Amino acid sequence: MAKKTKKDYEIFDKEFFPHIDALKTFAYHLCYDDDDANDLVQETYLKAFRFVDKYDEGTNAKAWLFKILKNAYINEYRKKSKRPTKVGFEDFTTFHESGESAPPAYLDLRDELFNNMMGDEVTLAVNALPIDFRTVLLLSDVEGFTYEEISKIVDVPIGTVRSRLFRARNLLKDKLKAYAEKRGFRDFRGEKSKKSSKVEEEE
Amino acid sequence: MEKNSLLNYFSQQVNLYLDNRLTTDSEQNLLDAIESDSECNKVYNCEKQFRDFIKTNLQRPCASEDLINSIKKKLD
Repeated sequence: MAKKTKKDYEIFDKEFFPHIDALKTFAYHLCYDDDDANDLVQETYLKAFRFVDKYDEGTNAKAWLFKILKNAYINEYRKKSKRPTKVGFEDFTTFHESGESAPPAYLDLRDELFNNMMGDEVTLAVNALPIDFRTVLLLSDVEGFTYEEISKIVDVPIGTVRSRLFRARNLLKDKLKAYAEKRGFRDFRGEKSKKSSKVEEEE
Repeated sequence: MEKNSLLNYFSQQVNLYLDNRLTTDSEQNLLDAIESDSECNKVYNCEKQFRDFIKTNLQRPCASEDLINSIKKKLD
């Protein structure tokens, strides 16, 4: 490794380290495991430091670090992930990314439904999403990256980011609804509207 | 357009709006629809609440002091 300058250390402290908590959260939701997440974050920072000369000071350090982390995850950690997704990604995207005519998913956020749903259920639901859907959802809805930034981090066209996000959010709503139903909540409004349309049809 | 397709389209528009992806004209059309149509208003509120709910409730573990120290040590 080339000898690092004082400036390199300054960039690291001022621009890279402030994002460590965000990287830890992202790594944790990719790996499902705290130790693996720590290893992944550490590897990300060591790689960032090794290639700090490739980084333009004052640009988008957060996106740059997330891209390094995502690549490190794909190269090493994905293989040994303790709970790999059971859905074949290509099968899934072939079906869902073209599925924009699917009916919209809504989620009733009334208090009685969600008062008792804590971080554990939400985390489980997010972690149960296929990895490529989970990734865009975390980058967009948790970290606030733009479509352009996500496109660069994940290496897919902007249109794919858009369609994956749409499907990810709908899948997540379905999963949260299933958790809520397990807890005994039933949303009768859908049935009501089904009933009335049946009556209308009969009439 | 049948109701499901219409709601589906509207839901996508709302998501694009919340993602800052709509043009000024489309954004204005959407805001008008949200104000004038109770069904559209409901979709908008559901989508917005959903995002806030995820952001607020998802576990976000922080980096421990041990991790930070371990990284810093390896840089020296």
